[in-house]
Amino acid sequence: MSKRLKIVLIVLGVFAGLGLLHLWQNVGFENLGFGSKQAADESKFRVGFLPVT
Amino acid sequence: MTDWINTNMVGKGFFEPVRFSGWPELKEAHLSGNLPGTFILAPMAMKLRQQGVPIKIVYLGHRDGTALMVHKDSNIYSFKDLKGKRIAIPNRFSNQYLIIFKGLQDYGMTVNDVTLLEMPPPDMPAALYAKAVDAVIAGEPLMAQTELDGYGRVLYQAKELWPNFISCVLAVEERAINEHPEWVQKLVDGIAKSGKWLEAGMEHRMEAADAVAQRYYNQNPRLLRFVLSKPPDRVTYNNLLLAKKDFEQIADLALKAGILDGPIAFEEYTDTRFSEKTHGTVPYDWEEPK
Repeated sequence: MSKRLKIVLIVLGVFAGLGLLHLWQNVGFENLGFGSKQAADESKFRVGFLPVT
Repeated sequence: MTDWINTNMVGKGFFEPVRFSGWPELKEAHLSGNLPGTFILAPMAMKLRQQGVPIKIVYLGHRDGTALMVHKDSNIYSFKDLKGKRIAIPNRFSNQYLIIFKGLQDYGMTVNDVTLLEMPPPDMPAALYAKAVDAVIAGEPLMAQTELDGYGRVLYQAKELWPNFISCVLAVEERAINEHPEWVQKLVDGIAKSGKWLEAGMEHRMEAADAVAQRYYNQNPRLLRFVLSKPPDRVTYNNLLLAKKDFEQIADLALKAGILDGPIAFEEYTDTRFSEKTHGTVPYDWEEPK
């Protein structure tokens, strides 16, 4: 494998990794249908609040 | 409180409490669809519904628990002394704004007689301390913080101006209501049960103050102990059902204040089914291990 090809593959790998990380952090895999229905159903019901009464 | 008791009773919470520091951020997160439930200002929920956002108010979080504070050295002793002063409010779409609107009206003034500044509640104590504003109004424990730290003075507790005052309500996306009504009922039941538990004795209030301060609010437990006991009815948790007359009063004031575009029916922005099922609720049968 040539040095150029190695660099291209590494760069593509880094971009793919960053893309997946971004997707996971901002969307969540279960919301994309990657997770099982059971996992989605068991996700907690999120309730927002301010630290005031 | 519901999450804390659930976590202790069965080892896990059923809900994920997500803390915010300002109402606009909370509103935006709710609108994004990643926050099916939220404790939100009552007039803000009404306004969102009027704008077509598919949410419904399903329950209250508490009653009272708001105070209008001034600097202890100020010469403000009643509403009439607020003329020409700067008052910080949490948001234009808040009952705290409506209470100021109503109070000014009762004393023959209008909002044009004062300067109203929208400010995130956590910033209010510092603003009052620095005398950047003359008065602040928001939910506890931030108002009590000014009192406890020695520079704030209560001008009025909300209940003196507006008995059974409502600040925050539990609003839930209609999608969540339709797809998972059992979750919404579980949450509403949990709030009702933890409310009754809180009202069952001062010992419970003090335990709650310690747990909530450290785990959820990131505040000094001493502050929450003060809020929940001085006086004990500073914040109340035993009358959380959705009462039509209370909301009609809010809607009427909101309309007069110009924060609603037109009349809105109680049935349009509430879903009372969950609240109605809490009749006869008993407190959580749980005591914190010693």
